[in-house]
Amino acid sequence: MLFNSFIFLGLVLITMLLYYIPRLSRYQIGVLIASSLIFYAYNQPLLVLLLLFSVSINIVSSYYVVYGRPENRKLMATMGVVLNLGILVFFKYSPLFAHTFLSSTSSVGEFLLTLPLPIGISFFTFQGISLVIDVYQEKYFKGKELVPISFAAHAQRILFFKGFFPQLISGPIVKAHDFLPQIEVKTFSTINWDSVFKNLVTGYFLKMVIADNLKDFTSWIIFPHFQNFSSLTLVMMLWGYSCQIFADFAGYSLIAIGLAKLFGYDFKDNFNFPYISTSFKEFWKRWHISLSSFLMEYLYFPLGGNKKGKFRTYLNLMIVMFLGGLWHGAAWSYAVWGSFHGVALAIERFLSDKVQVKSNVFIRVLKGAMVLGFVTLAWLLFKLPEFSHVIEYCKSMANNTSLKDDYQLIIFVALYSSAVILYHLAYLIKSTPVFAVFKKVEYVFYGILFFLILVNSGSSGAFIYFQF
Amino acid sequence: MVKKAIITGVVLFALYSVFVVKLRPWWWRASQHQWQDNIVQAQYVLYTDQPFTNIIVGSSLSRRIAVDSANETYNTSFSGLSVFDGLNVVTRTPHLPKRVYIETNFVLRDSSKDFSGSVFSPVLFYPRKVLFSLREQNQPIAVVGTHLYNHVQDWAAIHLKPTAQKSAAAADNSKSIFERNLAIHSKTYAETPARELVEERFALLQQYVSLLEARGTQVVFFELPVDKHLENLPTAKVIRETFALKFPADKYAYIPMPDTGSFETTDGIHLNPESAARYSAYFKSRM
Repeated sequence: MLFNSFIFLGLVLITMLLYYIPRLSRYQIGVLIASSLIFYAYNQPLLVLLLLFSVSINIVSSYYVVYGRPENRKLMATMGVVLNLGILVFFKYSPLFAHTFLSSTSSVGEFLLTLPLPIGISFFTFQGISLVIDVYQEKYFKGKELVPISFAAHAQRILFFKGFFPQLISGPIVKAHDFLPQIEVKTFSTINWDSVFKNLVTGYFLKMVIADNLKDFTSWIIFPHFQNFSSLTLVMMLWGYSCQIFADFAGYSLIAIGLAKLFGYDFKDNFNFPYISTSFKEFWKRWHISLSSFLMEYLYFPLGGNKKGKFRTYLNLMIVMFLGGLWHGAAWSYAVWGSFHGVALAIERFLSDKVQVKSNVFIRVLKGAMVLGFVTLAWLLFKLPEFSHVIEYCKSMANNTSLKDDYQLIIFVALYSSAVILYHLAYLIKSTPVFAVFKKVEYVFYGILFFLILVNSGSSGAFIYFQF
Repeated sequence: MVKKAIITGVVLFALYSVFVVKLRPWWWRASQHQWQDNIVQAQYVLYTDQPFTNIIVGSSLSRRIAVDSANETYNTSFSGLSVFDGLNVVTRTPHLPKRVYIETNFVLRDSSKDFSGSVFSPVLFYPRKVLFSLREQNQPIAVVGTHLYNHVQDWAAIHLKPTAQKSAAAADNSKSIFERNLAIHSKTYAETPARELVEERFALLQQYVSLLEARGTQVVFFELPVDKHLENLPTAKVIRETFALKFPADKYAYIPMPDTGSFETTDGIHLNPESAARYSAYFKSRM
């Protein structure tokens, strides 16, 4: 079910109505679980069973980490993580394994290639892992504080944690230590309407007006069609895709945050104006924050982080980014995309150790442009899963200088992407006196966004990150 | 803040609704890409009160047929879509035309759920009928972009005249694009379509044709010329043979296909502007 569909709007309204009826307050979690299962089952009813199986692994492993025999804690935690990863690998990476190592005519290969990809599996698996590790490490809370002794109550809380519909299929990846302490009875009067409204209007604007309109121009980034466009048009198309993927995913995250707030739950920000970054390290602190912080906490640090010498630091960065890339999709191009970023992070770290450059506005702008240029170019690997097609696109960008520019495409990409630029510029002037003036009339800006959602939405498209 | 923002949005919407009905200039029409053009055309046919005499349905091939701008004939060929998308729209118009011209070239292409979902959205269909500002053609950013594009195009035509060297390179490129696309289409056309697929599509076409005929509309089929290397490949032949079988020429009207050798395409299947103009004249003479 799409966030931008009318059926979803109906589901949210009915859920809210039941959720905030005072007499039903003790069933609040149950109401949200029921809505979440309807939300998930809408497109893939059978795969709800897989979601429930995945949740049950987390319920059992986390419960027995806390209440099982102390000598078995590590075993239970390890089993929980391995089984979570096992499900992810089986459903998500079997087709890649079959493509790479098996003949498609073999019965095993054929079976693996036909496995369905359960929507949101990458997201809810990582949430499950965070639960098992959090209760095992007890870094943020004592296990017994957040895991009730009643198995049924624990099961209900974990099903809610993993299944809560705003974050179920495309994140943000909510960590157990952030979410579980928030579970309590909520009241209608405590809803922060300003925050809900700002998140929802900005999110829907980015998705429906910007991303959905840009997608009809960037859809030409498909082999062999892109070969018919001029170099400038191809550059603009790629820039359009860069803005589209930001607007799509940041929009989705803002909607998810706004929806969670409607039910009294706070998710951390998932995007923090990533395209103003002046280094790759900064980019990854601003882009898909819930994933990068997950990888940092549950993979980079356990690998040793930067505590085991320079070579290991570079290697760890590469490993984390390679796996982070592969997390996005079962194609080698995603792994290459992640590795590109890993190499960039490693080189940046190496250079920052060796060369000290004085920072001024010019240098910052130059560095920002370089990072944005690299990030944008690397998105090609997202759009074109065949690596040979990526090469062809780059070749066409270099060679098609004599073809006629497609002014229509260039103008519309420039128009729609300008909203993404303005969005980032607004952040840059946040600490200046000019911003205070704008702040006083911010309702006008939100009113304009609301108006544009009504009259200028593009054709409804699935969120790009649904495929992950 | 929330109340003020919602009131601002609603006031803007009300003002805009009045503007597009009462004050909009003649050029106020969005046309940002072919998908939007398709939706604008579909909404025009669905929401208009004026009846049409003739309607053409087809794919991007037929889109190039130029017709009279008067209500006599309307071309609802949708680029990138199938004849079934067009037929779905035509059969839901308030007034059915006297004749529907159906392109046969891409009859095996399936209809688009996204397109019908967008045009016939159960929630938005009637609001769009009543509120002109909600229709696709009035999207403000798209209108501004379209207007800007028209100006840039005019400016470029005057100020950016290509050098002889660039023109030659562009011609070379066009040739190689043509060859590349022709090779792709040749490969597709060389495949014999699955029998089940052919049966399924023609059964659906028969349903639409029966529906139109039952309501007094005459159906006329036509095949657009494509590159001569494609015209007798298996896909084209199977479609032609099945039409002859399911819709025999003694029972159904056809516009005969002219000599394909005299027409040129940009990519193997789409007529170039000169050939499209010639075919349009031929088409009109046969209507």
